[in-house]
Amino acid sequence: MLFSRRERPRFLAEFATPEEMSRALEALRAAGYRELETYTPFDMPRTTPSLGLRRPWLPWIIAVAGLSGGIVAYWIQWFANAWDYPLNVGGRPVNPVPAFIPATFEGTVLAAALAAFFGLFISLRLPALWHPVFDVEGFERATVDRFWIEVGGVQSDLDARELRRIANEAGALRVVPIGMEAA
Amino acid sequence: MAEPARVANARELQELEPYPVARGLGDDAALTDRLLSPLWTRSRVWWILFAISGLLALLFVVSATYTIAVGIGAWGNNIPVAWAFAITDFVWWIGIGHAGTFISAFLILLGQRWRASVNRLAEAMTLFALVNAGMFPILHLGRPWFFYWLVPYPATMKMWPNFRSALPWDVAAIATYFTVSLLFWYTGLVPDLATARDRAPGRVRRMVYGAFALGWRGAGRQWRQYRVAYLILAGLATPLVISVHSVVSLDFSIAQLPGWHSTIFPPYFVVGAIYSGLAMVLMLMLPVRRVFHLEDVITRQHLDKIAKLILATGLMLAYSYMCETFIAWYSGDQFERYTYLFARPQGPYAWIYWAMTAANILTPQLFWFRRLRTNVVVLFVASVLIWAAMWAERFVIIVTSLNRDFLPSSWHFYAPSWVDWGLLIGSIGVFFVLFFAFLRWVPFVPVSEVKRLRFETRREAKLEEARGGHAPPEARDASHIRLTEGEE
Amino acid sequence: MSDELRHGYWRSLADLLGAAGLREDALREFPAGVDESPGGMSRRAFMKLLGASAALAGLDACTRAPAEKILPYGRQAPELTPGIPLHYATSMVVGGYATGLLVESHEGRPTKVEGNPEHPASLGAAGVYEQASVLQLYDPYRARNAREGRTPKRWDDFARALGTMPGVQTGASGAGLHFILRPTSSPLTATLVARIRERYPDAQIHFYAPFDGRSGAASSRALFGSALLAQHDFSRARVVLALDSDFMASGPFSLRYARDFAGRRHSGISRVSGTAPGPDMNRLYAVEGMWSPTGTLADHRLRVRSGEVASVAAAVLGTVMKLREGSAGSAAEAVDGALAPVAVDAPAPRAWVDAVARDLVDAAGSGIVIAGHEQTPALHALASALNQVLGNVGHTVWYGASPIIEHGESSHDLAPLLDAMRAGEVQTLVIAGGNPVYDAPADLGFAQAMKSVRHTAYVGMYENETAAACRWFAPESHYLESWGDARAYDGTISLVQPLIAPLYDTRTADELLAVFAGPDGAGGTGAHSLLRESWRDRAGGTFEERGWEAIVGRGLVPDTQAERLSPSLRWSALPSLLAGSARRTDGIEIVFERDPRVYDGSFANNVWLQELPDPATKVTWDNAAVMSPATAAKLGVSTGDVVKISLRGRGLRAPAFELPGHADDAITLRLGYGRDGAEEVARGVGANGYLLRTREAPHVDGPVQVERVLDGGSAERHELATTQMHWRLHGREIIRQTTIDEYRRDPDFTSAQSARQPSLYEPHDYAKGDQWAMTIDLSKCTGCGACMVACQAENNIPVVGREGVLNSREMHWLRIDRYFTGREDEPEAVMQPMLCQHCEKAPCEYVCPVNATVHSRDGLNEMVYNRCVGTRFCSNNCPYKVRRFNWFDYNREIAETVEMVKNPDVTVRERGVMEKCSFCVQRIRRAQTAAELEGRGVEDGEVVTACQQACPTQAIVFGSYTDPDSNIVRSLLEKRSYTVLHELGTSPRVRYLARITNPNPALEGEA
Repeated sequence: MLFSRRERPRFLAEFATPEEMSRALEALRAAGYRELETYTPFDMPRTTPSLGLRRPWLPWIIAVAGLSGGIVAYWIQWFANAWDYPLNVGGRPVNPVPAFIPATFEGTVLAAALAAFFGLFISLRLPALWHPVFDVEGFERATVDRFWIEVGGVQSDLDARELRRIANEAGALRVVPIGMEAA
Repeated sequence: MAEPARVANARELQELEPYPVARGLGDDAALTDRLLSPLWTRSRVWWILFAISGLLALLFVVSATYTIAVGIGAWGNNIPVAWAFAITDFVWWIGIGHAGTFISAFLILLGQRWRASVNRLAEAMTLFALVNAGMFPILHLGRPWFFYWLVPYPATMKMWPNFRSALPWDVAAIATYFTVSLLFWYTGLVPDLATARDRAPGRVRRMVYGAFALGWRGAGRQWRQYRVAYLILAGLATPLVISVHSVVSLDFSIAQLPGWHSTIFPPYFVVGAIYSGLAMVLMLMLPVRRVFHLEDVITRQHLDKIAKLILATGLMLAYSYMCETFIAWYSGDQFERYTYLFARPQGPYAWIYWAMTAANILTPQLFWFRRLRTNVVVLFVASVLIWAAMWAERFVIIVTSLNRDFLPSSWHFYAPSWVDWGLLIGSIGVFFVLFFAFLRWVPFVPVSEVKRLRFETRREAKLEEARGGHAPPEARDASHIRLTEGEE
Repeated sequence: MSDELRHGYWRSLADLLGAAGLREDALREFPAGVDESPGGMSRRAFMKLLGASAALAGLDACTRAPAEKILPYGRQAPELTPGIPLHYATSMVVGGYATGLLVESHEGRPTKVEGNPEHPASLGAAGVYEQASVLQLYDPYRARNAREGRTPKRWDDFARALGTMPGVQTGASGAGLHFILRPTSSPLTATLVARIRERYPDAQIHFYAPFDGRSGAASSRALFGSALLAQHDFSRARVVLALDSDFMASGPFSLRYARDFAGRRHSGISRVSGTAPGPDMNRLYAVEGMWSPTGTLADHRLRVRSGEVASVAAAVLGTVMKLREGSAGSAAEAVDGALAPVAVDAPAPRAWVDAVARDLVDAAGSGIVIAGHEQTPALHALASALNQVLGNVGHTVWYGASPIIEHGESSHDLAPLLDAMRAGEVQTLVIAGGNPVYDAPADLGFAQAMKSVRHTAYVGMYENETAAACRWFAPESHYLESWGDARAYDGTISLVQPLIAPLYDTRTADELLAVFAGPDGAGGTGAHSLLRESWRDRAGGTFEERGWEAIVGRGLVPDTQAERLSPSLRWSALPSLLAGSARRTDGIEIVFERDPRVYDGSFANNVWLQELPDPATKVTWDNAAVMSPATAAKLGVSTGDVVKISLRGRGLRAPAFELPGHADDAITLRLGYGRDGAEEVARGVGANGYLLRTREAPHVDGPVQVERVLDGGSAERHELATTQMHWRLHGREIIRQTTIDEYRRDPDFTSAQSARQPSLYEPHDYAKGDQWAMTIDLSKCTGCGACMVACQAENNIPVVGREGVLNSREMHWLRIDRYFTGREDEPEAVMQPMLCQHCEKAPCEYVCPVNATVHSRDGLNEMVYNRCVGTRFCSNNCPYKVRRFNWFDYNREIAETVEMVKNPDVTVRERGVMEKCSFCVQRIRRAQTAAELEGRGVEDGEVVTACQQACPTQAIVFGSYTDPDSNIVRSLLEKRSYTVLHELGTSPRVRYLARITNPNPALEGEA
């Protein structure tokens, strides 16, 4: 039977080793599953391609932020010392470019860093202290020594059974649906 | 013919636990618990140390309060020596701070993965050093309550800071450096906080760590963004490190005072900073390693590598010393010559000058020998020595330049008061209060990174075996494999 | 408040102050934070309270003008505009001689002392004592109320009590009644003394002061038959021989002499500079043991023990006689006889004596030989003889009757009084001013003898040693609270008019005498009426108001100087004078000198003077046993070691001080220290040299035994708070100097240090409007320190105390650097006033993070106190180290009375801010405002900085260089001008004029 779009279940498959998990991940992807997500205690860059993500836009945000940070920093210095209240300070020029470089640089870095930090967590929609997967019993080991695959876009019982088979073949300890009580 | 040499080499390497780190620690769960255990177990020793540092910190509070109440006159400073202990302490602490970011950011970019076990500690050191460094310039003001006048803000009187002076550069640099270090440190912490959350005994701990973990769940998407952001932060932090101590050095070199007015200051200061910082990292790491039995996480190979870095920076520093003295002589300028050839080596502070130079140049020479590079006692003594000598270096640069400048009529000796000492010793207390708190409540070894390092190195070892039986021992040191491998 | 109330208040306050201990702590003049450990803080707060209460009573009186009509100096608008200070003419009496002053008064509050340009003894300059005297007026330690024993009284009680004392009661002849007065030249005092003598024929009046210049009078009595004082005109003198004489910095006419000498010297130099034609440059020979400001300016300084100066003089006289064979005539043989005992192996090199003699002879008629004020009669006689023989008398030297009453007569000798006291013939002893118990000759045992006198009364400004020894005490008015008169050294009558009503219940010494002299014609005994009466008499009855106003307004009576005499010298008297004057001390001699800061001790409680560095040693807050390095080595001591000096059974401990250029086998000890009265500041500072000083040998004595004091095994040490630790130049071209001949040959020898330095920056436009600049002539600076005190008074500069100076925290905006050059055993000294150089490319400015020090349009390096956060970066980057930092809150805990001396035109700086010389910007702005109101530009000489104004030699020139024919431009254009540390490219607005000396070619290579 087909699930209605609303009640399409999502499944979590738990693995004991990263190797098994990445094998399962490849297989699932090969089998045409697209809504894939992994939960691992540490970063596994090699598995990332299988998730099929778009290029990250974060670097561009950071670049723009850094650039404008630098411009603002220089502008403040120029405005303060050369425009708003120019003073004869030791016979030095009011707009000495070399002297304004250090603060400009720091401004650039500061703005970029802030953008990187907040950009990261905003893009991850964090903080979010609760998430459906947290309700899955035993999931807390995802940050310790268990490796999980989340599969979505399951359209029918058939799909469900198929994915259980693939996961189990890869050595999944168990496959549980998220959101509803395990069927 | 090359074979035996290679074997010998291999054996030597065997002596240092080769990568993967954290052998014989059981599975990931066990490893995790090992690394997190300090968070759950309370110890009497810790309380004692914490209390001692607390008392020293109190000394700082007393000295600082007294200074603010009475005035800078409470110190030994005078005219001509208007800067002395406080600025020395400032430069010293901020220098120490540099090693942390250097180890974590700089080494990431170079793909030095061994940093994994030590970077958290180093970064924490950076932060706490910066806390101290930040306090001194403010305390040092004649009217500290107006410190914010160094920051540009639209005042009714249209009074702005003077950006031709190096001090506002300092403000910008230190503020930026502290912020970025903090963000970098926290970003690195999030996954481990999540681990702590999921491992914590008791509801309260779980909630607290949970809150700080921001709901991290180690999803592949999160890891990807995280990787990108973390790398970029590292990329930003690295030039920042260089810039900060360069700016600090400009505080001196924009002046025309003989002994300050020098173009080699920025690189010279940066090298010195990293040198002193690495020394302090060792100083902190060795006891921690022993107390928490982390010999297999922070391996002798770590010590070996840090010692090598100290040797390298130490040599650069020695070069800077020679260079500035040579330039002074070569310039033919009588004031420069007097400062470098008479005032320092023969003047009233000659003994500090010679002790400092000897300690800074000779100590690192020990590290030409691997035995010494991995001998815990030698390392500790050497690091303390360097740590102290680098304070003396700043003292020499600042005070011996000031106390004898252009007009002999204004020359005068400087001697610190009890408040000066109180602030110096007290600030060390402040540092350790923060540091011990850190050891107690924060995962001070990056759990997830260690696990990952272990996973990757093991896999690489396997690959090697598969590829062609006997793997060259070097291969076990998998540091040549890029962290960013696998990025699409 | 009403007198009743005030006195009521005083009584209660007096009780408070009466209790010992409290009086000590009642007030402090400089903040305790400076000289005390933090522990003292609560105590300071307590003292502040007391200080406040104590001072309050005086406070309201202070802002009130005196009841009698006082007259503003003519050049000022008579009506008072708030904010615009008025200047009043008055006179200050030091050592009996008057110096005319103009005192700046802000709304009836004297704040600053300046010289009276019309007065012959000042010509507009003011010395250290005059400058600092205004602080003494507000000194919180001044005695505030009369007392009998410990019971507080009022002045009237005191006056009444005097009337009942033995010898004074009505009908008494004055038998057993004795007075001790300070030597005085006051016509008023003279009349009062006369009236007392007439009323009490048997009363004895004695005059005593530790420095009374008696020798001059004594020698002139012998040589000319009456007490005459030699007067000199240095503006006409080509060759000057100063015999242990500091004629330019100490002594009654020094301000005038310095001006004349420097004027002549400068015009001699500037002829070369082509800026002004002038006479030949004068040449100065100095023979002295201790560095005096005069000695530092000398072209040839002969380092000789003070006791042997007479021998040198004799040698010179002998040679001169030979050179002037015949012309001397009758003198010749008298002199030959006389010189025999003196000239025993003169300590001076033959060549030196010959050269000097030759030079003097060549300059016959236009030379001056001058003897030290405190030197022996013999030396004065030799000086007179030399001037006589050289025919200087009548040209550059003449004689005038001494203005001091009974100068050099027996009444100026305390010995008879002491005999009387011991014989118990003294029932009543009235002491008016001075401090004999402290400074009377040690061998007289004055303090001891005092105990045998039943009725003792003392009138003085402080509860000092003498006050402590007297049953009755009444406070004396400060001269700025007094009416009176006195004569200047040349006899000019000078008026003393008060600028302020007495702060406390005080009277003047004249008013005390009037109590005995009885009511005058008008029946008043107030100083004002006394003065007017004496003038009515002098004016021969027809005394009308306008004349009075004229003289009071001007502060002096014109044409009253003593008649110029050229009396014939009784050669026959010479031998007896010289006989036995060749006191050649085997071993180490000791020289008692008046202190250039605290005088004889009467200014010892003045913090400005205590913190003013000694011109020669740069020591503050102390005196020391000054000796040459050679002597120190011989004695095995070094600077700071405490030594015990014993002389005929009397002993004294003092720290040694090594001074290059001091005579060997001699120790110079400045007097006026080691005070033990209720003057809190002075108490216990330094060593009391009077304990060794005898009546017979007040100036030079010996031989003394000197050994270092050991406590435990190690030498006892006493750190001396010196403002300058290093005196070598290390080959740095900070000081430029050359001889006049060299200068003629190569006038551009300083060009390398005056051309503009190349710069990467656009030159800032300093061509428009006023552009302030200053020059300081090193050929003129004696290092006397008048400028430093003037600056301190004008700019509200705080004092930091001994502890502060020890840690190099003194606040002086203007300091005087003293360097020794040449051979270390026979060094020359150079003085260099160092102040903010107002660099156009100021290194201090660009390092200030908050723009607290910036440049003004007219070229001032401005310090914005309100903006300063106190990073002290500016000081680090100032190559001249002229910036000063408020390490503590130096102004919070000063007594309210001391607050009244502050100049309202100058900000009082807060703790934690930097400060420095401002070129007296307040004066500049006032002048500019005035000019603006009149729609004109500021004229040359309209702005005078405090230091420039005070400088006796006019070494400082200030003005705007945009005015082409101004003094400053003339001065800047002098070829010898240069800037210090020129190579740094700071382009200072202060330029120094290289020191040009005029050595005698015949003495090449000699000292």
